Amino acid sequence: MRPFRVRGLRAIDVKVLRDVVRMRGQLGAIAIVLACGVGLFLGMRTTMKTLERAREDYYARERFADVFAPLVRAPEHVATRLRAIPGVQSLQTRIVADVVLDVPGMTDAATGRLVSLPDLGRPEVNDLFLRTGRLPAAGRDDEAVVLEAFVAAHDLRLGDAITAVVDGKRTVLRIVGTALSPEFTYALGPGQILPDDRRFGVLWLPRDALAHAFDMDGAFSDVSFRVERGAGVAEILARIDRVLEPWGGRGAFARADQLSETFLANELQQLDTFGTLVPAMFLAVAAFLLQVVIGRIVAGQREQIAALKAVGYRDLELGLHYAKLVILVVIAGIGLGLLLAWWLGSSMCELYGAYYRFPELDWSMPAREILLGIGVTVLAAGLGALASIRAAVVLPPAEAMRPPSPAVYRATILERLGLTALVPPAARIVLREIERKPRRALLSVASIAMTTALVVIGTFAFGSIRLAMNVQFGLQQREDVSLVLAEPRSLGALGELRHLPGVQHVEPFRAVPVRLRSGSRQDDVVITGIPAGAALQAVLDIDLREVTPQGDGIVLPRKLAQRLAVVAGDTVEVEVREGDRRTATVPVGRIAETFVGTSAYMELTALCRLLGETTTMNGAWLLVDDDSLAALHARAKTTPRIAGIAERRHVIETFRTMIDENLGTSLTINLGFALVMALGVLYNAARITLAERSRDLASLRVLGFRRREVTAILLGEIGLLTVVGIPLGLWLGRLAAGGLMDSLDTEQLRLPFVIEPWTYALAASTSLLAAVIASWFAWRMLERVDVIEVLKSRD
Amino acid sequence: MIPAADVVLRLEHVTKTYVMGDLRVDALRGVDVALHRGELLVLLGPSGSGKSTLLNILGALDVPTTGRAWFGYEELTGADRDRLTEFRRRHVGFVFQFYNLIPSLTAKENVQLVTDIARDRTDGLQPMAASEALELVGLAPREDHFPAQLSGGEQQRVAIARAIAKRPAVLLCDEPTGALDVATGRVVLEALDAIHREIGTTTAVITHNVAIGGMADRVVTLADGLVHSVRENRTKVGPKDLAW
Ligand SMILES: Nc1ncnc2c1ncn2[C@@H]1O[C@H](COP(=O)(O)OP(=O)(O)OP(=O)(O)O)[C@@H](O)[C@H]1O
Ligand SMILES: [Mg+2]
Repeated sequence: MRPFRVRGLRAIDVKVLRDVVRMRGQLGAIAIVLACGVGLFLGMRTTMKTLERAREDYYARERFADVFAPLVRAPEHVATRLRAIPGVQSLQTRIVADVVLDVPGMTDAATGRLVSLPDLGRPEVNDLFLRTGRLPAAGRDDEAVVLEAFVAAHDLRLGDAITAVVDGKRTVLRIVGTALSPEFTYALGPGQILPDDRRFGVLWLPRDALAHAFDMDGAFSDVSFRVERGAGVAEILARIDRVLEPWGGRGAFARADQLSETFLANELQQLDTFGTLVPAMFLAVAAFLLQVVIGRIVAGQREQIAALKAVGYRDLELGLHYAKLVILVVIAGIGLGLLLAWWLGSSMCELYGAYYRFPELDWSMPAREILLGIGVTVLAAGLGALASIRAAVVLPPAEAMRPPSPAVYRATILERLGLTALVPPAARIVLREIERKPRRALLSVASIAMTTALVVIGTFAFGSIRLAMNVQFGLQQREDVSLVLAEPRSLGALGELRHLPGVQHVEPFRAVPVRLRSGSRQDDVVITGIPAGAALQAVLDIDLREVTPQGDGIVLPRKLAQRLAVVAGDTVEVEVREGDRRTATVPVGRIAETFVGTSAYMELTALCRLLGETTTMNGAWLLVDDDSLAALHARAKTTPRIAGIAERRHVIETFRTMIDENLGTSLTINLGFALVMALGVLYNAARITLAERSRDLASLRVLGFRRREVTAILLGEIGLLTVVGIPLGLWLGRLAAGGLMDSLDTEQLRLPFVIEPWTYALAASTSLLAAVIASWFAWRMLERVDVIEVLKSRD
Repeated sequence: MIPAADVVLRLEHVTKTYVMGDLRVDALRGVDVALHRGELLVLLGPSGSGKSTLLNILGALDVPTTGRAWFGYEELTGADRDRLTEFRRRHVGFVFQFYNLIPSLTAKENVQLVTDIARDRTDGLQPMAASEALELVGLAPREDHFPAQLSGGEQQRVAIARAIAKRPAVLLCDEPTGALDVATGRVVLEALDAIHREIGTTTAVITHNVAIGGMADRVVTLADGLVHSVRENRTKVGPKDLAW
């Protein structure tokens, strides 16, 4: 071992530090791009891991069900048969019912889901997490534990009262505790796709209280199961369905299809996709920049390398020497990246926590993840720098003692085509430069393209959501208010509804839970029956043409049709999951493009024929005077037959709020990152051109070119890279966005694949802005170049 | 041929052919040279006659196409890159026509660059301190200056200090005055001469300048890749008195 010099560094390491200082702009830019890569990687990954861990703990601790089975009404003894199904570990029967809630200070009604608690002890399955207070005392029918978010949204306190309207009877419930539940991590009320904490709440009551109110003594309307590890869930579902068939079973489903879990799983999936794709783009660009910049340093130090080798520095020492340069950049990148990850991770977790409610969501960045992040970064940097470092290692010393032979320039395509006269000399120089180093130019263009694409994939979803909302709530749903009735009624009920305050127009609908089958494929959905000539509801296809069901046909939404593998003209088997559970074979009419919910559609009378009923309704769409809305809500709360009431306006508002809250942040972050990436690329491109061509540029100045004309050469290159990169990036972004649609386009919320013009405009402007800033830098660098100095120096 | 005891470096029937595509350049076409312990050898010859090629092979910076090379009793022919590097690291000091200083390091640091790696040599000889080496070339007061702040002659003297600081067995200089004016060249040659006298380093100097041959113990003239003549100087002239 060489003796370690305690005082001061070895001279060759001093050189590393001085090189870093000299190249600080370029190396700093690379470190920042690297930092974005690690920061995004670790930030998104730790957010995902934190959510996954929180979910796992939460589900395990509260014994979240593996299988759910809603039904109409079954006597408690049926539970014994359910318990006997092989693979079932434990089960919990419950009474679950939706009611209208009357909350002090709220004019419109909220939907309340009442869930029974066992008389003794905690639920075996789907326990709740008590945040404050206590469970209702046994035998009390006026106490309830309420979903924390609902309590918070209404600024209620323990001891406050909520009125539940059950069958027109107003029952006052006192809040004795607040709770969270894994079933309502993402708390959606009926028909909602975004949580609206003010309008949907869950209340847990003693079983007795609910049994009395809903005539469910010794019976249950919902059962959930924990299954043994490794049990065949599909088989268990089938058996449960068979047992519950006579009791109005609505179809058992696995945890993966539970509403809250679907949304959460989907969110995690998106996080995973974006958390891989986006950091990969940054790391790839950083690797490319390292390759170019270190390559340029090595090329520029050919003679220094040769001298070092001549005096006896070993190949390995030289490799290490340049590796240290890279290591310093990587260390800076990782340091900054960890800060970024810390900020990004903790704020993303907070953001998710506002939509997905966990007992605790403590963001953390475990050492294991940090190591992974470091590993990925080092790998990217290593791959990027390897070739350049190798070039230094293999450089033959004798060879390098003589100056490199003059670069070989060829006539550009323009010249070969005889178009020289048309091209000004500055442009010719730019083109030759690019032709001489086509790979570098290509990679620069690719990097600009990636930047542009980054903005597209980061923002296009907002356009999709907006379009979906506009179509859904502007063209498809045209009612002011929709009512859900407690049970099906004859169309005579329309008369009553027409007399509710402010109602101008009423149209009935009938929603029926069914199982659709086609060959071996099946799915549980709802068919909504729409009266012929309905004005308040339109079903549209992908080209926004009306495909409202006619005759006996059923209209299926695209995603459902895909899953059943049917097209217009085929037939599907419909198994009704209520009443006397008829089955029928129904022709598939058209394929619809609906965005929210999973409903299929039939004409109302045709649907009722299928059900074997005279025409009935269990809900209605209303047009209402704005002034009378409050009165309507007040009346609905006291009308026994109305089980739910929803204003279209509110749904739109929730979406607007969600978009308003997130669009700004999302845009800022997206554009910020993209700008950093583009700047890193263009700034380095300009620096390198300047370094390589400074003699030529200076010579041109001496030959009498004006500063402006010389600057044009430098800016020409930046401009050309940008101008070629942007359209490529828009195309690339569109391609990637198309791929990402799969993870955004979910069962519950399907999004149309559109990229709005503003998305393209934004993406292009971001790269352009970067080009302008880089040009400004380049211009300033040129200002500083001392013509005489450059010409004197031997390069 | 068995190398004699007082021979530091010896080349035997060395040829060097550069091949570039179809083009073959015979830079050396069968050269025998020996560098004796303690002597100052001057290599003369017209441009393109193969001087640099010969010096590079002597210093193990390059390898011959055919022929053999010895350092003392150790044969260098056929050694791999790593062994050649070790050889240069321990025993050879180079001075180049264009100085080849590291621009980002000060004069002192440029010298340290070499002394840093000269400590693990086998012969027990310790390298000089960087300031001592700079003292020898008269540049101690400028040790904290960067190459860009030094004149060409000063840079070349730093390069000489860098080459001799590790007390090499041979000092090889390729046109050390080539880029300098007469007066400055003289200062550089004085530095070389002083070092040769004070520490007795075996030295080979390439030059275009026939007059410089006057300060040598022996003058070898190359022409067209062959040794044209070898002349021993009975009376050496100090650099001051060379008729430039
Ligand atoms: N790497 C190389 N590739 C091709 N030819 C080479 C190479 N190095 C040297 N030569 C050729 O070999 C011949 C001898 O070159 P060398 O550099 O040894 O000459 P020199 O005597 O040092 O000339 P000068 O006085 O100009 O430095 C020349 O014709 C030169 O062109
Ligand atoms: Mg030469």
